[in-house]
Amino acid sequence: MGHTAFGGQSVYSQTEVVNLLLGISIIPILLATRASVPSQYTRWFVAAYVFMLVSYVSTVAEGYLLPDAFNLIEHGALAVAGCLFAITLFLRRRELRRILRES
Amino acid sequence: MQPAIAILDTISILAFLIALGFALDLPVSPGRALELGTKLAMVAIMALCVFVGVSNVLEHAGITSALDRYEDYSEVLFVPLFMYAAVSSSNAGRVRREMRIQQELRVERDFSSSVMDATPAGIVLIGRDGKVVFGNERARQLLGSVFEDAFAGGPVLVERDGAFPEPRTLAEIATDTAAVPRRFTVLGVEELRVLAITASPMAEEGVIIGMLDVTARVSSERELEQYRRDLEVLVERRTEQLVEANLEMAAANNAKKAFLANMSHELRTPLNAVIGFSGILLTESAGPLNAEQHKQLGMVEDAGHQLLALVNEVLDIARVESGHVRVEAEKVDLGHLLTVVCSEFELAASQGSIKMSPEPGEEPLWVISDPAKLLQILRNLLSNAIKFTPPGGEICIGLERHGSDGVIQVRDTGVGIAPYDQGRIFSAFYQACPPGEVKSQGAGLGLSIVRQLSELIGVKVDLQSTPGYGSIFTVRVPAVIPSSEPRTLARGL
Repeated sequence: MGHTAFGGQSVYSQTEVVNLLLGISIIPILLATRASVPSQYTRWFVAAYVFMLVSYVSTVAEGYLLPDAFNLIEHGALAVAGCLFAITLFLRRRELRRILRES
Repeated sequence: MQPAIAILDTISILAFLIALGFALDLPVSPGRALELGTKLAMVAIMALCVFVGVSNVLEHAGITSALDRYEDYSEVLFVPLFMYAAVSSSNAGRVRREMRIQQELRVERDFSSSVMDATPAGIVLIGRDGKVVFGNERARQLLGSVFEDAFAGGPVLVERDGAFPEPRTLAEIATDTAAVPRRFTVLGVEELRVLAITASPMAEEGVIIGMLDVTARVSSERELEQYRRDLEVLVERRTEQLVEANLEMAAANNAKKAFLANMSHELRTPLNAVIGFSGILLTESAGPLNAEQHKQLGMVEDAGHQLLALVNEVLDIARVESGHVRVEAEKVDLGHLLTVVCSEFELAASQGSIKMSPEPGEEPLWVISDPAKLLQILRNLLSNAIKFTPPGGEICIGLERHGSDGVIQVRDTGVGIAPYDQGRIFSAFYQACPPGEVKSQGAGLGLSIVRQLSELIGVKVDLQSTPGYGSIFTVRVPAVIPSSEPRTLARGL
């Protein structure tokens, strides 16, 4: 049976590794997005995504060493990512409303 | 560890739920597919996160649910969704920026268009190929019915007072019209319409033509020109009338002068006879006279002398006004002149109990002037001083040198002249009359003769006077000659 990124088991699954690789591969796209859209929103979006990535890495890492610690990091990073996404979308919503109002 | 993880999972579920709420509430502008795509991606990501969080909590709680089966598959969706969200967000931002720029350009274009339409000047843009590219509303109004012809390149304007009388197109005007406005008449419109047109070449776009309606100004200028012509005719007519009036006045004046001269001459001849024969009778060579006869003959002789003096004055002024008086300039010693005139009036002053003090100065003061005229001026001033100084008064005649001028002053302690009279006292036949006194003898010609003679020989006569205290007449004779010059001619006066 495969192991999820959010379920801390000692053996990794193929899905987790694929997720991790894909997640790392889109970092340049995210950074380019941040450069091309100079907005407060993109900064928070990238930060939230980085914490999601930390959660992925921790999911894979806990199968090899310090399972409890990486499991805690995995869940903690996910919680932080959730908060950052909430902030991101709040800012995004405010910015879009302002733009709509001005136009 | 389990409680901490449970708390963290709960926090993440709540946070993702809030984020899901915000994602659902993201506004999307109408017709913006990219924005809608971004919103859907964000909603999907947040919903998946909530789903995974709930699945984890259930798993840690030992509840095996059907959600576990879909968890792995759902996580696979994360990355593509993130990628789509990132890319679409970027594109949406770029599109939004472009739209904002377009919006700004639109606003700017509207503003420029409003300014163009609001300006009172007609503005036409001629392209580099000579075609009319743009014309504002005012240009449309100014060109009226021929606006379309002008746009099509038709000749619609004729220059006023210019070298090219044939109709011209806007493009032709743009090529040779400078910043200085030139006036053109619009062809094909019912009423006269005159435009002042300027052309300003632009760096790349072509030439801008500015046009102002100056029809009203042209009409005003025509009216003004007509007024000016009428005024000129009127001035010419009035000038002719003035010339005629002047000629009539001059003729009347000449007649008056001739009359005065003739009459004075005719009067003086019998007067001389009256004075001469009364003098002979008074010598009693023709027989003895009794006291009464002697007295009456004396009165006849005095009256004759007064009348003769008056006639002489009238003759003098008539002669000066007629311009027949010649100025004979020569070297004159002013001190000697002063002594002569004082000796003449010594008897008259003593008869009036007036003290006369001549102060001719120690050094001779030579000037070049007409001695006869100067003497007459001094005689008239001194005669006036004696006439208006009461018995017991004093008359002082002084001579000084002020710079290059010789200055003679006749000061008296007489009745003085009121300020009102001081400006008129030199006019002919004007006699100042101090309050409470009757007018003196004479015709009021003495000072008028002084003024005219002084102007004739270039001498300046000033008056200072205080009523009740006396008067000072100052005669300023210019160009004193150094005293080393020999005294010659005027000695014999």
